Amino acid sequence: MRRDLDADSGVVTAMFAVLAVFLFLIASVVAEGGRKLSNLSRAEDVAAEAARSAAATLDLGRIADGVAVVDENGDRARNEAEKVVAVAPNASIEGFRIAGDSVTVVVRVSGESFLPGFDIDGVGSHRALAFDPFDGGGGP
Amino acid sequence: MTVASSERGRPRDRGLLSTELAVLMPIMLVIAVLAVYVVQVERHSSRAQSAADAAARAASLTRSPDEARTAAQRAADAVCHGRVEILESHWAFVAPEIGTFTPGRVEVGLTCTETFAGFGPLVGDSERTESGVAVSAIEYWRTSP
Repeated sequence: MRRDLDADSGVVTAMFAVLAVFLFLIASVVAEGGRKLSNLSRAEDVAAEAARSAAATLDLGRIADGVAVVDENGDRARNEAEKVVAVAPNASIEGFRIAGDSVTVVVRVSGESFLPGFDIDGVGSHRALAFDPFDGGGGP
Repeated sequence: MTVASSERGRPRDRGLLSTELAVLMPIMLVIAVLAVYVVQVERHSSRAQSAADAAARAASLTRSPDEARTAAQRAADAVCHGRVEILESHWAFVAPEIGTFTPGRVEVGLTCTETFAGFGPLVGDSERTESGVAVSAIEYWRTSP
């Protein structure tokens, strides 16, 4: 019986140490998770503005024909989106697609996590429609 | 721990759990206060970013740099719970060009300074400053008349 009791020695201390480590890990994951959510939200916001900007860059040649489509010549629309994204810290365009009168922009906001292997980058996308100036009015 | 051990009592282990709990509880309390503190800091940071977003959006709805600046300041003041300073180095108003159907944009960088109190044991009452940067597109139809 004495031997059994000796075997228990230090069990509570070990449990205390393990719990402390788990507590620290949980707090770290919650904190880093919050940063990831923040980056996700930021990426979506920046993508929305970049897409709006790109969608407002109309093809001058087609405008003359009475058609409002996004300019695909010479990366003009993409350059406008780049100017918007360049303002946001740690943001970059990951995807850019023009489909006639719409633009889809995918933005990545990068972050460095202090937890090894934990990815806190946020990726957000937004699709914006070009405004048709022939469809009446001075804006939507 | 076995029943036998608690019945007999072991001088070396007796009260160990209570001691560890006594040590753990203040640590837990500090962690809880720290968590609340971090949340408050994060909320402040989020408000600064929201203020910048609101400022950029409000400025993008105007038609001149002067109007834009006024609108940006007013919008940011409404969001930040303190003093807002729009940074000259992060302010830009690029007007759209209707002739070439090219959009413009407003870039706003600001600081939001708020009173930060209630965490006496951790940090003294003071003011904290957070910054935010935002950009908003100005579509070509919002060009000056």
